[in-house]
Amino acid sequence: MKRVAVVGAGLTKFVRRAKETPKELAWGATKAALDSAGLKLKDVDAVVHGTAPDAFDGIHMKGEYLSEASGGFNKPYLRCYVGGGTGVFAPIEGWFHVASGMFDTVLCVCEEKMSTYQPHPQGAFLSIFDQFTERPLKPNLLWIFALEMNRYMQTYGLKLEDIALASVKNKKNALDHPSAQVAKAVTLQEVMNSEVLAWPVHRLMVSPVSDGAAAVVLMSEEKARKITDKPVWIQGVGWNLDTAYWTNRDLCFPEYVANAARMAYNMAGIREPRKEIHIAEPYDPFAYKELHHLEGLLLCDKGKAPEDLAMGRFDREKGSLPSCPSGGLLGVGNPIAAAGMMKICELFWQLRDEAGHRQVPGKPERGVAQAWGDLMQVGTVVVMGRN
Amino acid sequence: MLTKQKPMVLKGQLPLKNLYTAGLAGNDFLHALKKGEILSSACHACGTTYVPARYFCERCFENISQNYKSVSPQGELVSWTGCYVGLNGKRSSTPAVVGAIRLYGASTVFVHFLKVPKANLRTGLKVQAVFKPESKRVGSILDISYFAPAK
Amino acid sequence: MIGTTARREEIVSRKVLTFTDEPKAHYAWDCGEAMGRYLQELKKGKLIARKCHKCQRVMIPPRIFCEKCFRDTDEWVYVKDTGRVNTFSVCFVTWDMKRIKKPQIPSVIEIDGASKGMGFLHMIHCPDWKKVHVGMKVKAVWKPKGKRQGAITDILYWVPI
Repeated sequence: MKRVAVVGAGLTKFVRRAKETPKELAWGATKAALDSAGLKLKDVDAVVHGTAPDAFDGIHMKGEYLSEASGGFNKPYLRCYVGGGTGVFAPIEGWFHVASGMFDTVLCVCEEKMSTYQPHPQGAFLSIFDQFTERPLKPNLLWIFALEMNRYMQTYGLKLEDIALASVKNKKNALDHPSAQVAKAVTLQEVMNSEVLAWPVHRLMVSPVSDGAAAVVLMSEEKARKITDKPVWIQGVGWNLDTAYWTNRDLCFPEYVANAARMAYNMAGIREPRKEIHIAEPYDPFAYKELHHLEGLLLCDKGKAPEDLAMGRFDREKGSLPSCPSGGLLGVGNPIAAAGMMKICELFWQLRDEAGHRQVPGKPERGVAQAWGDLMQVGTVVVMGRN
Repeated sequence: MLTKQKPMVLKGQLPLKNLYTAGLAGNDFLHALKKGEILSSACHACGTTYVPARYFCERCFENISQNYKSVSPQGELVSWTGCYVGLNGKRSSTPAVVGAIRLYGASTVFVHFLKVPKANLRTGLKVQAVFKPESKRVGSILDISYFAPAK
Repeated sequence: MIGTTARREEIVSRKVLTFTDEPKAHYAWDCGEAMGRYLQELKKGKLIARKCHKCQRVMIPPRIFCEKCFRDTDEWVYVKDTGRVNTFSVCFVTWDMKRIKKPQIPSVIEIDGASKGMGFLHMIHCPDWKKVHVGMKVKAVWKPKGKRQGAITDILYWVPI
């Protein structure tokens, strides 16, 4: 297998409702990624596109609709889709393209325009539930997160305050992110006092509805060495799915994330992830999800991530394992597939010392990004490093 | 396999309602239609002229939103059809006649309704946009009522 | 930077043009063998599961294949209409984020007679929602016989025992 480098990254701003069409958003991120690598469209051999359900943008065959805006004009082009896990799966699929030796330069682009769905994009999720046994109960997407969060809290006896700190940290980190939609200095009290949507989920523990796009450029080692002296390497990739019978398994621990993480760590030659990973970008659509996923990524003991958070372990400036230095989905925003890809962009900038005010101190060598989705069943993991 | 099962079907529907923004280029294009103008955008790098106007060139990836320009409302028919089947799968006695039209000066083709006598329909026919009265235009592709033979 | 906010007043004044549509998406879903039987049994006021003789799991909702052993399941097994709360939520909003006065209590209920951890999503009815807790024993409340349709909603809700 060939070694694969990330050589460019680009983002749009994440906003509640964009004036731009989905195509214009995708182009904005793709163009920014190419510009950052000093490349032109003609240098690109193939394109991988990631986007969540067609229902969000309200365009059937959305992958095809977005092809030319993602740089796919007359090129080998492929859409991938694993629900919320898509944003980290798209670069994995891009990695296949380059590692196999088939292509040298591959664009990976993710886009979502959730604002299209009326009156609220939660409606697009109603049809992910089983049509016979669940949909007649008129389920609300918040339910499954609340059910999982409550199971997580009850199993390990966790304090809501400790979980709420994830919102405080991420919204604050996002103040330094130029794409951020909901960056804010909030106190723990404000998070705890925000409206209860579905116990134990409070309003400020939920990421927003967003429109946006994100892109990276992947290259073979041979080509990457010619255009940059700061390539960031994809050292490991992993993905895993659990059964869609989500009520037949214990939601307290995301085993599928752990499986994906083990796969990625093995490939990267990582034996002790807690020592060898210096930055984490776990998927954080809800406050508890960041912590749940840090445990799934084997970076904390089961049920111990909230305590670690409260002790400051995940602080960007002083923590031993900065988590979501970007500001995450809770701070930057959550245009589903683009949000996962935003985490790949963040690791790219962090590992090149280009993250500006968000830069994690101490020259971090290696980071992990993770996304999650489908019916609480998929984990997608990418390990990136300087060497 | 299991014992014989009486087939059962559950009926239902997915709630779908969309609100689309016209986009950066689309907004300018549709506001121009309201004024009776058809806007193009040209890429100076590859020479492609897009109608409707676009924000970026899909071939070169350059921003071409600085190059908006009105084009002639006249063009030629590239292809056409008369469709006798509705979206419900039922046959209608009067066909919906639509054409693929390339306006003069444009590289690209777009689709609209035709009001052309059946005997005159042929590729290469010179056609012209017929706009709604100005007071009835709302900034929609339907501000053009149809294309008719050019005078 | 691409990504510009469209403000409400710009949309209302049609400075920013928008369009709406409501595509029709009507479906007829075939229930298949296992689900068909499950729904017919619900109409009779019974819960039925499928057992795999290899891993010995009693699975609900029932399925014609065991996803772990990847073989046909072997046997229909009736299970009880009682169970335990595996997890629950108390939800104060509708899916389109409107506030509701009387909160809904969705729950994953582990079913007595099925294998450990085998449960499904349903609703709890409990006037004082603060009393609902993980591990609580619950029992199904069925619709009157004449009103059942062969649907999961033939169970109205579950109440504490």
